[in-house]
Amino acid sequence: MSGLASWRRAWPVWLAGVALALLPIGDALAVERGALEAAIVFNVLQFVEWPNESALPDGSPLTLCLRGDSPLMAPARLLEGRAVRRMALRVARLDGPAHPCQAVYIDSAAAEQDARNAVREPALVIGASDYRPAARPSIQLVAAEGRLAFDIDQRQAKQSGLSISSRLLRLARTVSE
Amino acid sequence: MTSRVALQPGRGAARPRSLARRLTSAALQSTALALLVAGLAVNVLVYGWSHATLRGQAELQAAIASDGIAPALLFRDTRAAGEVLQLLKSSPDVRRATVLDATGQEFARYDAAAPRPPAAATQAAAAEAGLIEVRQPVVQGREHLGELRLAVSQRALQRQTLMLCGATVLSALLGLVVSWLRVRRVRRAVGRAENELNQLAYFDPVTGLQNRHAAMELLAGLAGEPAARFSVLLLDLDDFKLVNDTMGHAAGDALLGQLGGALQHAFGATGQVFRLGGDEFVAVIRSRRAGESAEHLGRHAIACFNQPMRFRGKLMPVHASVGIAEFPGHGATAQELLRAADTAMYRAKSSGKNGFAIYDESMDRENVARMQLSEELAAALQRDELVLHYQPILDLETEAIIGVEALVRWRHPTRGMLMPGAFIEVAEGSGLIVELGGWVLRAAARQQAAWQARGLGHLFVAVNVSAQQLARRTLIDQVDAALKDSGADPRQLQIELTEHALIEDVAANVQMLAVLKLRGMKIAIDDFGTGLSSLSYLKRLPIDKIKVDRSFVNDLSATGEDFAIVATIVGLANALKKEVVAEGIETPQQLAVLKRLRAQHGQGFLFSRPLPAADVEALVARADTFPAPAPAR
Repeated sequence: MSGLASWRRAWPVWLAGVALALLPIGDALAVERGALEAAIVFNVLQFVEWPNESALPDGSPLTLCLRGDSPLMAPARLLEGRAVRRMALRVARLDGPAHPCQAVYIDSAAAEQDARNAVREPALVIGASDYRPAARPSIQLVAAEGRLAFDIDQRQAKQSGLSISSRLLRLARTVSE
Repeated sequence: MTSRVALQPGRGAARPRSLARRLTSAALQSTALALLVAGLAVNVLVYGWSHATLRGQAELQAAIASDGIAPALLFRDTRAAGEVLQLLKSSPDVRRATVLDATGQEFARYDAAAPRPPAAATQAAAAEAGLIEVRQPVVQGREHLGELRLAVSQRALQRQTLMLCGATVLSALLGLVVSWLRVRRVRRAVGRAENELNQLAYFDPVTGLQNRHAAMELLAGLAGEPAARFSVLLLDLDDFKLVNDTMGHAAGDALLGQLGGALQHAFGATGQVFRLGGDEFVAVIRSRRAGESAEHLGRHAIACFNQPMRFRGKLMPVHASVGIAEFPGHGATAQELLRAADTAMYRAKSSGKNGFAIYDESMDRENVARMQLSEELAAALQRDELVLHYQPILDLETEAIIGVEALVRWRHPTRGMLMPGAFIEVAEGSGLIVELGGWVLRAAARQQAAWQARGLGHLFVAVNVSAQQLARRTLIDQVDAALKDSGADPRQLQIELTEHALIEDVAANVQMLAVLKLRGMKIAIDDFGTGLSSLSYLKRLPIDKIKVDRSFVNDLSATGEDFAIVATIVGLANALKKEVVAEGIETPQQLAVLKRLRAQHGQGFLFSRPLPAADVEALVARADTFPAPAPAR
């Protein structure tokens, strides 16, 4: 019931999210592609488990790092504070002061460079739909057949000590081992 | 012994439905009821459990599916949602699954319904009506993403329930059959017991005839038919006790059996014969041959008793008195008819036994008169209206008065002086004879004591005692009370008993007489020669005197039969060393013969009629010798 109650409280946010998700990609690219990708990234985070996560207290921050100039920054900020399972989403700049990052969104070579420099701990690397990082990310967003989908690289994820839920794997366009 | 024919029970008997049949039907009904209740309970319970299980399974499936659907819904991936829903194929009960998103819009759908012919579709639609619907929220984390609705068919459940019902009905039927087989065995046993009970309830084991119960039912039934015409014959054996006492109960039973057979033979074709109990039979004659009167029936009945009956080769003496009553003239109910027949039977008995009487209303009037007389007599006993007269008894040799026989008289307030013949029978019928006998004993004892005081102590007083005083065992107490009350000399008090009084219960009477003899009293047998005159009694009973009945003395001549009889009695008495008293001596000729026969004592009008005590005293005082003045009654 508590889930249902919290859903009822958060319904305007969700309605916005769903409305965004429902938008055809063609238009979205023009209007709010960043917002759509932010929603997908947020949803993907729901199905990933970090090492030692179970030892963390409830409400611990889950930090998503991305460059300050990323078009995703603004919509990601909107999602800040939302629950990712037992944790709360926090958004941090890759090009800002050093932060521990649990997830990194790479949408440019600069972002890739920043990540290499700044991120020490094992993190979920997500590649943007319009950028393919040189090092394969665990999750690569792709625009295909007019929709936004994602590929999963399990090997990368496992190297980082991450566990991706089979429920997410089922939704992936491709899963490479 | 008559064969134990299974006679049809009384026609009037409205028999309830056989106990065995009721038992069978009750047992089967209760078994069926128990099976029905148990079967219903099991079916309802199993259906309830199965329904709950089905719902539980549906809920589990919905929960599992909703978990798989959550990411698909989250990413708006209908294809993935469809794939998850397709997994429900493995569960044939799931008819339909629908995923709604958070706005209530249908997001994905699964239909198990395969293409069907139209007829089957209608049928299916009907079956779809009984779908169980389960709603499961689709949640990711704390977020509510939508709802999964599963519609689960109950057809399998219904089929299973139907099969269970069928199995229950079949096993219940099997149970009933087994139960019936078992009950049938019990039913046979109960049926047999019932027949035996019936036999006991309606038949008399000694004669094989039907009993009083059956007779009353038949009579009640017949009396309920206004058009019926029938006769009731009540038969009562005379002196049946004698057979039982002298030949044993086996002989008595054999006699009853033979009589039952004879009566059944005589009346079985025209009616039915019952044994009412003891030595009483009743025949209900329903059809009479043309011209046959009630008298015919009576004679017919008496003829049965005149057939010789034997037990182990010995002839058994048997006579009966028969009372006849007719329906509807003599009574409207079974009880009234039996009472009328009983009244007639007593009339037959009192007018000399071994005969029959047909009821008529005058008998009732006489009964009423007798009852009235009985009441008056009871009052007379209280009011001291009775008085004793004494008839002198003489020594025939010396013609001296040696004693007297006390004889009771009733100074009736309206009818004058009554002789015993007018009231003794009534007293015997009502039982007052016991009290009356006690009164006579007391009065006689007082008189003896009075005479003793006046120098007449040599006169004995003989008192008549009735059979009932013996039968009720009151005699000893009455004698003792009389002796104590009066101070009389028991040696001068004598008891006179008839043969009939003695044979009722010989063993007990022997004892009682022995006690009286211990008191010093003498015992005389009255009216000897008129009854059974059993020589074995003379030997067994402690008798001192034999009184020769007046009937033999009446026609006594020097030749004739009576002479032979009296001579025999006197000879017998002398041989057994018992005194002889001749009664009813009225002529000098009789006296002469008796003297010649050496009869010791005598009494009769030749000497004196019964006199008041004072007259006896005067007579003795005169010390006249007899013959007295001409006898006068």
